[in-house]
Amino acid sequence: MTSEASTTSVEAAARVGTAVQSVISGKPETVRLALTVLLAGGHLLIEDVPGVGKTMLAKSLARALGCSVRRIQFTPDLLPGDVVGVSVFNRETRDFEFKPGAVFANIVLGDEINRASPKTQSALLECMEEGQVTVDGTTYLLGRPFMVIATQNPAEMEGTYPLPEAQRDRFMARVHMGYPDRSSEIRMLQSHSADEPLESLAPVTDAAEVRDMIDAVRQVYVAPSIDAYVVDLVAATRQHPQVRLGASPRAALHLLRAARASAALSGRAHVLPDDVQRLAAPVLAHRLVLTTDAHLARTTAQDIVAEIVTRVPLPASS
Amino acid sequence: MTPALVRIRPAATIAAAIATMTASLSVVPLFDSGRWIVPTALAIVLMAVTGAFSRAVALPAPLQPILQLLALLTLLTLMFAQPAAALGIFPGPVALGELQDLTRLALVEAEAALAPVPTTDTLLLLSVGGIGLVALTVDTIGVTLRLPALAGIPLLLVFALPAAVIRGGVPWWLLPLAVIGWLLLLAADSRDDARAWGPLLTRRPAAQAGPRAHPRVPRPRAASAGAAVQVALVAVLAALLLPTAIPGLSEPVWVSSSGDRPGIGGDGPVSVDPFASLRRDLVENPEREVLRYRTDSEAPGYLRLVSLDSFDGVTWRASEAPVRVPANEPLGPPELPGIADIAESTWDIRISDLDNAQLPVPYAGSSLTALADPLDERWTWDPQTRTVGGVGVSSRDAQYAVAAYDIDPTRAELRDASKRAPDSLLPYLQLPGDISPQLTTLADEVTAGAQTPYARAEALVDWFTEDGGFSYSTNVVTPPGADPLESFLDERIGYCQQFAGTMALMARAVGIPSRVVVGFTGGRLTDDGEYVVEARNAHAWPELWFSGVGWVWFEPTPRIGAGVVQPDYSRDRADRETPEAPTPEEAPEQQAPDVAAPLPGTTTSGPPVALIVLAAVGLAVLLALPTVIIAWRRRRRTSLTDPRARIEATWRDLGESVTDLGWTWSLAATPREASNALARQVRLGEPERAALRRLVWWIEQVRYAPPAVDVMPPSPADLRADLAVLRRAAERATVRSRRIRARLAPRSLWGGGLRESSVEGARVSTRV
Repeated sequence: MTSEASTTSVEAAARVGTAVQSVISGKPETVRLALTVLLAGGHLLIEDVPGVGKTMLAKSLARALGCSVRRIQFTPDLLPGDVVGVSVFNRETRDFEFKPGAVFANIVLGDEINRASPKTQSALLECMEEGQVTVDGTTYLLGRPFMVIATQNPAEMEGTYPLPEAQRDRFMARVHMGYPDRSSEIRMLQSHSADEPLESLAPVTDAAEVRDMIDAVRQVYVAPSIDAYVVDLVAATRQHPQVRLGASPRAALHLLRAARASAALSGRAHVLPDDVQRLAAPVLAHRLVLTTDAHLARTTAQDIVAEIVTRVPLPASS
Repeated sequence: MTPALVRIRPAATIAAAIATMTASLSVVPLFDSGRWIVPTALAIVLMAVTGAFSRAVALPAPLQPILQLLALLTLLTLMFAQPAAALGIFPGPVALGELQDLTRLALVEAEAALAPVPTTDTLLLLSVGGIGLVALTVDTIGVTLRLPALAGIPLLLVFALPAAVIRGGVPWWLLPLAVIGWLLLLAADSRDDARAWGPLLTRRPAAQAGPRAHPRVPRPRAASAGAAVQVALVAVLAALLLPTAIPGLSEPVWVSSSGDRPGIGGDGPVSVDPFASLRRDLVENPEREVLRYRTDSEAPGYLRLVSLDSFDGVTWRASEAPVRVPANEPLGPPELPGIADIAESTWDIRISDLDNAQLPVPYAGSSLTALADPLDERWTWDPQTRTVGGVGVSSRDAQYAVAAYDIDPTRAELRDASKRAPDSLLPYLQLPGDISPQLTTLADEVTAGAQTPYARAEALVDWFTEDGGFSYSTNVVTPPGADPLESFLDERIGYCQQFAGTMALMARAVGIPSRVVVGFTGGRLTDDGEYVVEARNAHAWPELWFSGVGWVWFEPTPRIGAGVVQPDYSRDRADRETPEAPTPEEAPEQQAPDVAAPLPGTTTSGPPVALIVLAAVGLAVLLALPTVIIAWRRRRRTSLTDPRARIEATWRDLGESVTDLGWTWSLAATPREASNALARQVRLGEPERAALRRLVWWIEQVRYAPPAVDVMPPSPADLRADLAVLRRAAERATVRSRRIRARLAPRSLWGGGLRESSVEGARVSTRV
């Protein structure tokens, strides 16, 4: 990673961040996390009650990036073909022709992903992992960047199919929007009463630049002690008494990639343990399956990850 | 310079040796000869050579002083315990045991000695060994550990010891000499320092120095050296001149230095050389039994060993007897027409533990016969002084009977003795030409109005014991350069040697022939009629000659020494004015030796000054030790050659400094967490924040950035500067009690230190 590339990446990311925050006020950490996931080439799961701006975040991010955006409103009757696309018979050419589904876009916004049937969910999640779609034996590559921003409503349980742990694992990070603070909410009322701020949001970058940014992130240096630290953290989730199913090796990979992106966003060419610590909860928490005891004790996965972060010592450097 | 030369640091090594030598020059006034100088210099040179050698072969720092110690022990073995050495040279267990014994002996001797002491082998051992050890310490601290400033502590110790022991301090010119040696060491070290930094100053491009690295200013080296010399000059001059300028601060150190005998003073008014060797025998154990005797004498006097008749201005010495008579040949009775009644008595003396070339005999002994084994033929009488001595003989275990005439004149007889002394006694009236006029003046004043020689003698005894305000102490030292006699007359404190010697001199000044006798007081009478003489009964007293009565002893020493009594003829006034029976405190059992160690009952002198100073210095060293160790550790850490290790060590040092002050710091926290935690706890100004940012930046570079990144690492000086800024800030923010605790008992030294786990409290969410 040359310094010029990193500088442009940082600037572009900063532009995106500023743009998104003009719409989503008072949530810089959430916006930054979304950017981090984008630059790390991962997918983001936004989980919160309705009306806190989940969709707005996804939409503004997509718009600010200037990439192609498709939105899928997941419902119980949504079919896999609607997501990935179908082959239809063309009478003129007398041949099957592939009609791309909603997934063929740079940013795919999956609203209320837990309302779709498991069959449809898994179709989406497979493209997320592979970056490609295979229909009737033909493989179609998805565009780059490709990021799925899925929202999920935890409060409403009726008629939903919560993502199983194996599928939650595909998301790099889960973020809670949370309610805005008082001043942000006032500001939101003022800005949204006049006109739709999303309308005035102009793209500040393009897909090519985002691809460069993602490539640049891959060049961020990771010291051996950071690798060890990530492994230690992930291993600690597996040994935690209140955790039934700990984080997977894929989680370790995601955590490291996210840490790289975070370092790049800070303009650094190397990862610090602070990057890892800051991302541990968003990246690891949604993958943990807690024991009944933990549920009874009202301990959340975030609490456990935070506790692990304070407990696991930094490995000695070299 | 080649790397080996850089390691050896020849300039600093030589400077350290010179510094030790100049500092040890303050020992000069302690000895009466220069015999100690060459062996001691040899030890210093040996320490420098072994130090340089161990640095040349890159011996690990902790092993260097061990090697030097072995070299020093070998040297001491060769010098003082060669016959016991393993294979003729090496300090084997036998030789070490011998050295240990010698050292113990030397310490005992040193404690009792009065400067200047004769350069005996034991004291030589103390000088060579002690100064050798100091040379070792200075070399280790000043050269190997590169803490030349701290090397001043052992140097100061060498300098302070004689200064403390010698009343009035050492001659003034020794201080600048010692300081110059130390300054040389400092200069040599800073020269090496500058050399180590030199290339960095020129080669380092600012652009590569990291975004927040120190802006480097080239050090104006030549200018700073000149300034340093000026500062040193001013400081030394101030140290010398201020005491004179400020009244009451202290007497200027050179006031006591007299013109004709600069620096090296005498031995007190009466150094009795035989006494010095005897003293070594005696002071080891004041309770030690020396001899027992039985006598039929009505009033047993003292037992005499040797009589000293000539005073050369510094010491009392015994002249060679013109005639000596074999001990078994009886001497006739003394011809004393002035005494009507001379009783005869016999004394059976059994010596148990006295190794001397004289036999203690009463006055006036006339014949000596062996009690058990035949007496060694080499024992002879000196008929003039009626003392028994010999060449190559030892008094140990001698058992003999002495027939003596009890010279116990009445006062009337003494009063009648007023004739001038015959010419044969002229030597006993001789005073050195340059005798202090104060002495003669005082002698005249004290004896003014006394008509007879006896009255003058009485007046002198009264003056010494009562009227003159003298007090008794064995811990009196004469300032170097001062006339010991004048000093005794001024301070009016001393012990038997000085009382006896001075009274003898004053007697001569008023025309009474006199001599000083060394021997034992009468000892303690046991229930079975036997007298027991112990080491503490060692004593010195004057004998005065009266016409017709002969030599008569007097007792000018105040009645504190063991067994000190007044002869009948001068006891009246004492009887009248002081109780006859000793008070319980003065009971024989509790009486302290005359010549030995401090007296518990003595009111005039507190604990020995030297001991207090030593204890204070020792305590100061002990208290300073943690600071010294931490400073040394910091210096070593920030000087590591591997820049990554250096930065890591600096970071660790910062953490330990902070925890020592009681603030939270966790090694397990990330550098940013730790620094944020520090910034939250301790109020940091902008320079401190910048320093902290730099250190964090460096430690992150070292730990987490790709190793290939081409960044010029910070110099030890940069790191030290940032560390110092932060430590000062942390100290400012700390309450005094915790600051003091951090200095005296730093956690990072006494176990504990940084907690490796337990990240709680330090972890905070940080903006990355």
